[in-house]
Amino acid sequence: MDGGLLKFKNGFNYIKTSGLILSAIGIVIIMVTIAIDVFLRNVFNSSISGNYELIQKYLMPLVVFPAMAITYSSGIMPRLDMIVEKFSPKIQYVIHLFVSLIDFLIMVLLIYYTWNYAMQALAANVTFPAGGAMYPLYPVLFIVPIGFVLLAIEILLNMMPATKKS
Amino acid sequence: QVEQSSPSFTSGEGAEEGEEKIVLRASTGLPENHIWMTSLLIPWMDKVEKDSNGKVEFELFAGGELVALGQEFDALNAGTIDVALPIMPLYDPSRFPLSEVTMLPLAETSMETFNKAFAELIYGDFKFQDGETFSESEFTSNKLKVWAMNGGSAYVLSTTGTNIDTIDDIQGLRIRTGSRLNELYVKNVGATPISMPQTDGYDALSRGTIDGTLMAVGDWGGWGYQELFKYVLEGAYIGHFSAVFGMQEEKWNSLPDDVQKVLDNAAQELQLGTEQHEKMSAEEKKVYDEVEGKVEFETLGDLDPATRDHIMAAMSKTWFDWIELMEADGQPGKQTAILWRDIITEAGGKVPDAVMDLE
Amino acid sequence: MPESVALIIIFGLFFLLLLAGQQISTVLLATGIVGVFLYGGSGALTGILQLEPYTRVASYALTTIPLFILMAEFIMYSDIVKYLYHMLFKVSKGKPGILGVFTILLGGFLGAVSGSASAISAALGQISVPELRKHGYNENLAGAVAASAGSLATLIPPSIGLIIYGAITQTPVGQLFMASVIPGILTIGVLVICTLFFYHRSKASVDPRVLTSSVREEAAAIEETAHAEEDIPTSKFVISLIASLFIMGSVFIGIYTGIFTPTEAGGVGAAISLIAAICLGKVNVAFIKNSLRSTVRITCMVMMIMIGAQVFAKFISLSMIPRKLIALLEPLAGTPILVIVLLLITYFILFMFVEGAAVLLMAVPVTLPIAQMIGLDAIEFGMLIGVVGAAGLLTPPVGMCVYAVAGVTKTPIDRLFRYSTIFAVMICVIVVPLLLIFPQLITWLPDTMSQ
Ligand code: NA
Ligand code: NA
Repeated sequence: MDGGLLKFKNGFNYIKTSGLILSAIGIVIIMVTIAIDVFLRNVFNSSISGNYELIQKYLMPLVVFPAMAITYSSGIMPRLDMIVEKFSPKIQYVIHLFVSLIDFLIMVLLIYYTWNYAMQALAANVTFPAGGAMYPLYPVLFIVPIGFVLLAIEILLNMMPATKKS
Repeated sequence: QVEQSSPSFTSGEGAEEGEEKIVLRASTGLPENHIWMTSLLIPWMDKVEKDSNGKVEFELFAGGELVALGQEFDALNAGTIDVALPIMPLYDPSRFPLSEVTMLPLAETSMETFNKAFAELIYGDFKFQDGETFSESEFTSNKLKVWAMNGGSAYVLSTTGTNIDTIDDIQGLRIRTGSRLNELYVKNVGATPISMPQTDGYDALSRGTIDGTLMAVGDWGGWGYQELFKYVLEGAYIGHFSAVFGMQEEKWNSLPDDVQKVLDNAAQELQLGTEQHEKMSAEEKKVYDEVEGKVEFETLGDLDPATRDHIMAAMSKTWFDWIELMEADGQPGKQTAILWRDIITEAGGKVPDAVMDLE
Repeated sequence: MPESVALIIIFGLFFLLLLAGQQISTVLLATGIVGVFLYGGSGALTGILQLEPYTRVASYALTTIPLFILMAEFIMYSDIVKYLYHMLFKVSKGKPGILGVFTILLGGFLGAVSGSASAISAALGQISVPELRKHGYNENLAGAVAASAGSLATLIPPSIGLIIYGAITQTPVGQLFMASVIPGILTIGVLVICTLFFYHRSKASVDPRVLTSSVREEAAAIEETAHAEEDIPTSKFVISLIASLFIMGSVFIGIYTGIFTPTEAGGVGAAISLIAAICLGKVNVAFIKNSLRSTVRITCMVMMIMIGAQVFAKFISLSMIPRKLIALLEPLAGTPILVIVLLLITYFILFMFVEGAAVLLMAVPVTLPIAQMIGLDAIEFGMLIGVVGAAGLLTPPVGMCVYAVAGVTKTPIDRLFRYSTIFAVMICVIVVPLLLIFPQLITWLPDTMSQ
């Protein structure tokens, strides 16, 4: 592997890990918010205003999209490999390229459409109501295509022979 | 594209020779047996198909199988569907800010009053300062062509046990709210607004996580609430849930004049139709019959004066809060409120007294 | 393009990509995209691709997925469940059959505090499968046991599916919940029998004379762990028993006394488990890091499959396959039993392809009148659909519970499906006929309660 690519891979690993940390923070915030809300309701008869809408619209997407790339590379995604395993390593690699190419094309489509949608929402300044106030929707809509971009990069890196087994 | 074996591409009975069929892909987020579907939307599609002599045909996707409830506007824009049955402006106050006006509290109202007033709101020619009607300001600006849905009775405060006898009874009541105006009202009346999904409502009510909700009694059936509620406060009507149905303006403009007329006439006629009204009433009566003797219905007027005034004041304050919020956002809040006040009173309803003084 | 050709292309693509080893999430996406485009055109594709990834994820109800998994991770890294399984193993005098039964019951118990089948399957995959394997279960059976135990969550109240069914059919949710208790217990019974049967069969097939060396090693390793357990001090068992009773008890009591809702139970349960872990002195940087890392990964995995399943479901909907299947049934009203069997097969097939709530919303309004026409009431029909729906989570090609376990345990899905499909079929051929022959199993509890 040449130095530039190695550097890029290391930098990208750093970004992937940051995505994971972002998602983990999202989960912790959801847990703490729900626990505090339950506590407030039962002890002080009050409630965190709009917590359910905010968790739903902001935090759940924050939990999922930033961590897609690292989830993909962790090998946790279920797949059927009983047939592929029977082929020679060379053919397996060709199949791997074919499948990854399709994965990549799907990501291109998803990036294109979700990015457009986020841009539309930004232009129209779409907001949603939570707890009597209005919150902008577009910032979280941009997390979606960004997550797919990271995933697309991961798929490309995963296609290279030298990085395949790493 | 795949040729459906449905009649979409064949020329059906009644269509004139050589004339092309217009197939509209319609979607609803509601189940097909929902009262809005059975009372208005399905009869509307049937009437359109009949009145157009089979020239117009609908391909209906129900229950949110294609487009989930609340996503209709985006789906129309993307071209996923041609007709949305219905669009939910109340779910999207940033694009449809003025529609919230129907959720303002009323001192007196009924299903009939609301439907008359809502037709006037949607089809009426009252013009705001900028020269636009309500529909132009709210829907044409979003490139939509819409018709009024029929509505049911107003929202009321219902609890699983607490009777409202004094102001203290209200303090600390945990009430599920589903919209901004509901939340404002619950705060103004001194109770605690709790936001949670409707799907959690049954568990939350049955186990005392929350004490009550704001919704129409006729809607209880859908969530099994008949067996949970014990008390309803009538006469403090927390507004009417409203919706519209329709299509993108571009699609509308592509339709021939005669077809447009058929769609328009069918929609306007049926929204105020007797049969539609009877179906809606029957649906509500079913719930009332079921809970007869099990639920205490109290009227605001029967409460002691201090409690009554307190609740009435919360209702008017909700009007003024809303106007302030809208004006701060650059919307014609005051004009819209006055417009709604005038047409709802014209139709036989009553608003809180303080609102009558609004000029 | 004629319709049959389109369907052959789409399903051909589905199986080609599946066999080529593509990840399930992108298999569903790829075929869903092609299907949506062929049936709905570019407008439909635009609308669905721009909206679905975000809207599928942006759901409060789905917070139970990360939070129940987080709870499971906290419990697992506190070693609580490990000790419990060991204790049970000792108490049963080394009969591992009981551990599978315990896993099913644990699933039923978790199902009574949550409606999220995928979350519970993933959690059991994480905490139970390693223990089952250690005590002599092969990994495929262990995974299938975890998946089927998780699927119970949709049938045992609280259940979002039953609430949605109640809303569509105007059936009181309380009665539906009551009605589902006995069918739920019957299903648990069937799963217990299946687990014991397959466990003993897999043992019997391992003849010592034909043991390969690797199996020998594994057996030796198992032997070793079994011995190692003898050295665990009793105090650890007691502490973990108390901790687990504390966690489960608080969640259970909290829900049933209305302190929090079943959806909130995920958040509270995770917080309580964390507190328990702190009390047990297990919490350090590694504990937090490991728990959060696997929670994020498992959540992300489940959600990515859900996004794919959502797009795929839109193709199924646009193709009008469900409507055509239902239309085929209407002329058969003369033979009720044939209609009900076909109806349930239709639902079984729909649940195979499409996620639960979507199936209910689109198919129930159309099929309930047919069911009523042949004499079933809404509650009975709902229970039958509920049982079939739970089974549908265990069958290929889209079996969310199995995917969840496969992701967590890294067991190949085809091997999990081999067992889980049999479990699903057994549920359908035993529980469904029982409910049809003895409708009292459904109606007795709600009738008694309402009197
Ligand atoms: Na459950
Ligand atoms: Na399935």
